[in-house]
Amino acid sequence: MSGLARRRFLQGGLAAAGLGLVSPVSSLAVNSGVAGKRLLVMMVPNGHHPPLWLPEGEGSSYRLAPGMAPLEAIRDRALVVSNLSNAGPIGPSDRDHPYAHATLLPASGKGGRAPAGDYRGWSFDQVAADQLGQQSAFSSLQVASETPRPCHGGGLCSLYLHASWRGTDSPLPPSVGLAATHARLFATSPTVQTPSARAAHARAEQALYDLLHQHSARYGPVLSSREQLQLDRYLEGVDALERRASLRPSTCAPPASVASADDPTAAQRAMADTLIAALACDLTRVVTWELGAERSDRSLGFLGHAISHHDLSHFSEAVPGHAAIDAWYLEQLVYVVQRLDQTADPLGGSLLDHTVVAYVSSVGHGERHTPDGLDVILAGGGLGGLGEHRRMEDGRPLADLWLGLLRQIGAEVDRFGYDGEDAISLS
Amino acid sequence: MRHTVRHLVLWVGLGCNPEPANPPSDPPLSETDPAEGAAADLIPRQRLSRVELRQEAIALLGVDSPAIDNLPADPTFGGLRTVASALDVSSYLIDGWAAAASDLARRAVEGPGWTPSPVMHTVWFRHYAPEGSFLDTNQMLSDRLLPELHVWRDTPVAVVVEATAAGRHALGVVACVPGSFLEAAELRVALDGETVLEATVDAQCGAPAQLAVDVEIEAGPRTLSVQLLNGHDGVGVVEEPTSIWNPNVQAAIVLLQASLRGPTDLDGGLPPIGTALLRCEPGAARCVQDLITGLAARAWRRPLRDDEREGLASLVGDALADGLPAGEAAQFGVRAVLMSPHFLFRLETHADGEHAAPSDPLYAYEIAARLSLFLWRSGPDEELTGCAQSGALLDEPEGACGLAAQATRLLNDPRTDALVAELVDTWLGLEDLVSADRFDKRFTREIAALMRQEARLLLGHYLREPLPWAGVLDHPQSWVNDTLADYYGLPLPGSGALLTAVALPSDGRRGLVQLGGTLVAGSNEYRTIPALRATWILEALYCTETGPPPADFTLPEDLSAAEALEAHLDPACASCHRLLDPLGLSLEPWGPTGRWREQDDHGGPIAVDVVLPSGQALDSPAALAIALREDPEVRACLVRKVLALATGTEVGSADATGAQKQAAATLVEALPNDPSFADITAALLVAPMFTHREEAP
Repeated sequence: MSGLARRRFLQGGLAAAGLGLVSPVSSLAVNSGVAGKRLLVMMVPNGHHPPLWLPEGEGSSYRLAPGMAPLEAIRDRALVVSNLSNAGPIGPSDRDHPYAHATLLPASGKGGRAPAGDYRGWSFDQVAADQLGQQSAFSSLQVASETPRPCHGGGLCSLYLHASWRGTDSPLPPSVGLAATHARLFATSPTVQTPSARAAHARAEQALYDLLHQHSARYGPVLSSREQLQLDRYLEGVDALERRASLRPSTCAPPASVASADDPTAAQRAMADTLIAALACDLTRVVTWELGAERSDRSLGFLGHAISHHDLSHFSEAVPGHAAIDAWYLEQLVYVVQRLDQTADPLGGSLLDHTVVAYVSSVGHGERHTPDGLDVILAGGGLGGLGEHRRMEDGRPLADLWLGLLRQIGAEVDRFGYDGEDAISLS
Repeated sequence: MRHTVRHLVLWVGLGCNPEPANPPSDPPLSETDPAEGAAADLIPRQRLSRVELRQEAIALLGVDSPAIDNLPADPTFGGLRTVASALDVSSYLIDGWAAAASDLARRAVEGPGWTPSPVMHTVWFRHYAPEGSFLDTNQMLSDRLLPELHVWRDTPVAVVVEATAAGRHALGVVACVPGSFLEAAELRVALDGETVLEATVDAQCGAPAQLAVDVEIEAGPRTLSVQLLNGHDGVGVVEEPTSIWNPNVQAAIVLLQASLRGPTDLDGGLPPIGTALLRCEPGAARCVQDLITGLAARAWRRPLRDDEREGLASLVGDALADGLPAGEAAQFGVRAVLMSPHFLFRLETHADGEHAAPSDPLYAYEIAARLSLFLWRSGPDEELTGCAQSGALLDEPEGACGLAAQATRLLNDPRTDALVAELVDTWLGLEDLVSADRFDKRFTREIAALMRQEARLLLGHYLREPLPWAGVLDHPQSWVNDTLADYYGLPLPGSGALLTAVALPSDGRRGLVQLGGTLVAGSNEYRTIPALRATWILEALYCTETGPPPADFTLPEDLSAAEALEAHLDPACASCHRLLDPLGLSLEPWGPTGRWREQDDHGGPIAVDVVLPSGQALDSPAALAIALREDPEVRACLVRKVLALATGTEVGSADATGAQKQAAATLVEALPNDPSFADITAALLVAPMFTHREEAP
């Protein structure tokens, strides 16, 4: 494809097609029904101690357990869906952190059993990105607050590292920490003063991308399938850069707040502010944020107990630390929902009106690494059943919730994950 | 110390995994169907890693960029970041790569508001290393290790250091007098033969003298020499560190360190591209274009094809014609060079447009690139490129330009420090050591930095010296300074801040496994994790992959070590723990901060004794180090690590083909008994897995 033809193609918002990484439903990319919809997934590590976490009772009169107490502040804007199972994709011998982590959002995928439907091995946030995100500078954003656990083993490392997947061989690494996230979202190019200089810069920029395509075209017939895959991903990245140059909003600015590295709460909030700023100015519409690394060993000593989160999660008896850590992470969700509510959406209303937030941990019972007994706290505009706790029947696939959530934000999918066929309605 | 004797059978080699992964009835998950034809079976080539990008930027442009730290972390496989099948490409990587390329281009050309990074060149003599402060990256990259240097009146010492940019530099010398014979040494320091400093040194080696002077220099190699003006003639260079107390030596001055740091006048110092641009006549497009195409040939590790030269020249020429200043046009050129797949990837299909058949041997430029990326983590230098260009690299195997001689040269070059640093960070897992928190506040960031430096000095010693590579497992010395020796409870070496080699007590720690750093890495904030330490041994030294705990695993609360051992006798746990426990327990004498202790985390006695399958009882911590060093499986694994570093192929991985495994086995068989790192490298150079893209059928 010539440079000019390619640019027209890219500006049509169909970056992935034709490059070997054809998205299954990319013709839906410009879907008027999903205008303005946004998705924010928040992941926390190590599961919970159920007696200190799960609400008692169902419907709107449920009682909050100590770990979930902070939810009271946004109770009327949140829906708790509990007793979901991801046991379908996770084999009985694979019930441990890496599999739970990598299989959570795809409800299938690497380390898990084969997925159903069109998006084989894609995580649901990426399906959303494919259908919601094509008009923003970043079709999706993966961020992490904590450095992932060092890892020596081969295959498991990738499972610890990656929550978002565009197929079982295409994991998306997160930017770790506030500085890297800032640099990625708000990097500025050198100030160019005059219109003619700006135009010259834009022309040189395009010539640069054309040249990179020419270089890539030189390889071909003798590359192995893996080499070709890597080259395709490279070109996808180059095209995303080129597209971003035209889509990046001119008015985006990073939030003023700067985190003190020594204050974990301030650091989480600064990350939240940064992500909300990115959502507000449409830098991206899909964000997946890991507030702690899978199998996090942080001690969070400022909460008044000394044992690391992971060690604590394996205590079989209820201890105060269980509830303290759960509550601390959940306070970040409360902060996010309140901030989204206070932030105006350029399309009208508040940002919360057009955003679905999903808060989830990769294992249910922290001590036992169970892939069932999972719960998801949902918040945001357009959801039905806010203020309620819905406990699902035993064995109800997590994939059904992800399917319902995708439909709720306007994505067109029939089935999802390994066993998502009967969407849980969220309207 | 009281030892509880426990006879557990150590049966390493099978690895452990309680149950098979996925049921075999599940359909395959891979989304990529193998391509048709021979290309499907090729060894996958690597992209550059973050470490390699940094090394390349410094080698090619003379600058570094913090934007490189924002790249996604490269996945490790078996503790290495060179395994091709683990090095993925994603949009985020390309984002980060582009941002780094832009920042590097700005710094290389020195656009307004951008300053080049000063580069530190330090020559460390006698394996001394600096104070355990936080070392900046440039400094870490160019720390150099040479044999100790004693300077007599008749043996002036000269070393060559490369100044990457012109400008003011700080020249430093650390020296001392070793004994009473020569109470005050008169010292002359010269740069390119011109005296820049004369001083009298009377400092003893416990508190060496630090001399410094500012010098103005041009870019390029500079000869720094040190001469003693008094005393008497000596007996030559002394290799043995202990020989410092030999009376013959005391007439000498001991040179501990020489360094050149700069440019320090950042306003006046320009990196090479920026300097060269200033010399281009205004409007001389050709001059700017030549700079960029010259850079591309080095960065892409081969000569350019005509269309590639023209493409880059057009990019730069059009930008100039469009009215952009030379500096900005050049930045577009630098970005194109760094973002090109020719730079990012190592797709070895020859450069001449005629794609090589997979079974053809690699051509000389590709061999040269493999060699230097292996040993230096950056591309070939001028000499190696010249050898590829002349053909002598492959055609004259006995010559100075031949592959063997070049490999030796590269191995003995300080640029191997990048490889040593990377191995310490990933293979030993000490990358995050300085940010590790421990409840025991005696473990400070300074201690952590010293431990990392200690590990580098040990590994570097075995990489460069003609010593058996496996000897790194039970090396009887460590490198400490007074602070670290005090922390470990060793006698103080009296070397002040500098790390120096000291003999370890025969009943104490030794080798890689018992380094302070690796012991800390196998612990959390308040306790040791014997299973984690053992898992590291299995994965890093036995090249096995351990599986997760069984499905219904419940960590019992607060068990003593003895109780935990009893719990592990449960058949579901025993399949792994029969391997893990003996290894992990043998390291229990060291607590979560790497210090010796008399009681475990629960106040119980330390249980260390294990019995190997051979029946050999290990009755001291040192015995584990020796047993590992003698284990043929460990030795084979250490060789495999070198192969993975050099070729990107981990023959233990699921991706490895039968041909690769066979090739590796053949290579191992051809090695001398107990080979050195250099022996393994030499055997690799002639092995098909290094010289060919694909194994011959």
